[in-house]
Amino acid sequence: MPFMLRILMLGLLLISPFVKAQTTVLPPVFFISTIDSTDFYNKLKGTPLFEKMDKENIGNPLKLIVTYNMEPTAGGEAAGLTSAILAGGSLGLLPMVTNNDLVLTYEFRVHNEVVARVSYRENFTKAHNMYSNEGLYSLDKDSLAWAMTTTDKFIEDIQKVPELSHLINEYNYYFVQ
Amino acid sequence: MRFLSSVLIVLFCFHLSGCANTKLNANKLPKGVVLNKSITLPVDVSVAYYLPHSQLNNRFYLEKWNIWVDPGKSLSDGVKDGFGAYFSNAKLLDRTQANQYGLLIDIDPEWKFESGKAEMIMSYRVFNGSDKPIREGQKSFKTDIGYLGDGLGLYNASLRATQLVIVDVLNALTPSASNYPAQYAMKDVSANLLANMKKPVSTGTGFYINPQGQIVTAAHVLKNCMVTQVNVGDKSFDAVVEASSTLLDLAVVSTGTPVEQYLPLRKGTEIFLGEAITNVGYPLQGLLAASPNLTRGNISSREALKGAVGQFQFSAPIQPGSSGGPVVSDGGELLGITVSTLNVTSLRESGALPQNVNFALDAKYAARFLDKHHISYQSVEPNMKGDIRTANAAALGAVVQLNCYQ
Repeated sequence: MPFMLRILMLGLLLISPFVKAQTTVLPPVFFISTIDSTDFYNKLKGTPLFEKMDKENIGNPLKLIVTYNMEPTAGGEAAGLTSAILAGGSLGLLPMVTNNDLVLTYEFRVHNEVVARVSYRENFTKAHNMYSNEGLYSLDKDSLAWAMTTTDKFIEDIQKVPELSHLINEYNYYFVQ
Repeated sequence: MRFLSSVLIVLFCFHLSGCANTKLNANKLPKGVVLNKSITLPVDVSVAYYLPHSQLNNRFYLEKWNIWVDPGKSLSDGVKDGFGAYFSNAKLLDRTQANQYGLLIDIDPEWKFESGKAEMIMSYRVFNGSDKPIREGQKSFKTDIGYLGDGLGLYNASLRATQLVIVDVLNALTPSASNYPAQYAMKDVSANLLANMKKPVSTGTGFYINPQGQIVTAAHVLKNCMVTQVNVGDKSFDAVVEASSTLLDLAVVSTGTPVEQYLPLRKGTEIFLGEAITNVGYPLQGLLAASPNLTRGNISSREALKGAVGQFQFSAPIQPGSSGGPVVSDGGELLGITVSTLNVTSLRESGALPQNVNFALDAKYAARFLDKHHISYQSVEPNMKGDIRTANAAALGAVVQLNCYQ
């Protein structure tokens, strides 16, 4: 009997590295974002937590809403005003320089009630030509690249929200047979 | 001539740059507004200020511009910055906290928008532990809305209106930590004191589920209410939330008043596609008279929107305020609880005009919810011989109106 027990323990030891660590997986989640990027969506969907996320199931009670906005900084406002005057005075030959904080907000909602909200912020200085049609508040390549880097932090942060495990348990109680 | 044209260009540039809003300084008062010289800043009295949740959570999406407009955040930030500049210790009231305060300022904000301008109107009452206000009034400030996405125009209006309120309070009361000591706990503030009981911020419907008088409704009807009142005929009762699920959008409240009529669930909670149903609610309060509205329809689908869980679709017309109302079979059994409708505005723009696409939580999930929270209910055998009279009597006898105050 002790021999059998030893064999069993040895077997368990051998297979333990191959046992996949338990990961949190959310029920299906509906994704909405003002960031028009498939890469951004795919990066979030590639994580175990949001593997059941989609952009189609509009009636899903669980929603992840990702939005961004530009918040002007005190120094940026003064510099922006001066450069706007110079750009206007030179009839567009000189660029307009803006300095804004890009604030990216992730909201996890259940039936439109916010369960978790986290925001990340990064400062960007940009030069715009008056006649270009890129818009002062759209996301360019650099901003988007930074936005992509926030997904890992968000996954880490949202898993610390205590309501999340309660929500998963509740969802399973009602809807997973 | 060259000098004149340069001046004109510079003036034109100034005009263009003036279209954009800049964040106002919270430490600087509007023109013509002055604090008494005897007041030393920051004032050391502990202040708790209250803003209704409906205003703090005010946020909407402008699809055409791909931006979120967040008047709630602008208001919250403007008021916070305003108080932060004049008081060393000012906090938004949180009734779950034991923090102590000396002055309580109850603010009832209101937005007005016209001709590119945003006006913040703040009605306020100041309390120091008693139920009677020691100061009250109304202040307002109007600014250019500017670019909606950054919310600066709305922030500026909120900040300035807050400053006007603060200056009035400081000049009239000259508060300090010695004459208004921090001795009242936030958690002890009466909800009835703060809630504006003149007019509910929203209304909904509920129905009795057992003889103990427990009432089932949609959870969103009770969302962020300071006070919820149940109206039965000409009587009103304060409701106590006993159980709630945001996931199901379902809640149970109690008034402690036993009742004779309540709605039973259908045993097996099976629903039949196409079966006739009755929906009763108290919609559009403030517009329609306060009597229950009864509409008829059918179960249109066993499922609801793509991805929705636990809901079915029905065709009986509903309106804002119908939420939480019962969907009743002709046999007088509860089949579901009204929770939402299809948002037709965006579909109308695309050329479609959907009709009577409404959703209810399947009573099967309500039963599981009631079991989970040990709330009693009755199940009856399906009555397939009932008719509209049976349904009407069952639904009208059990339904109540719910008013939410903040």
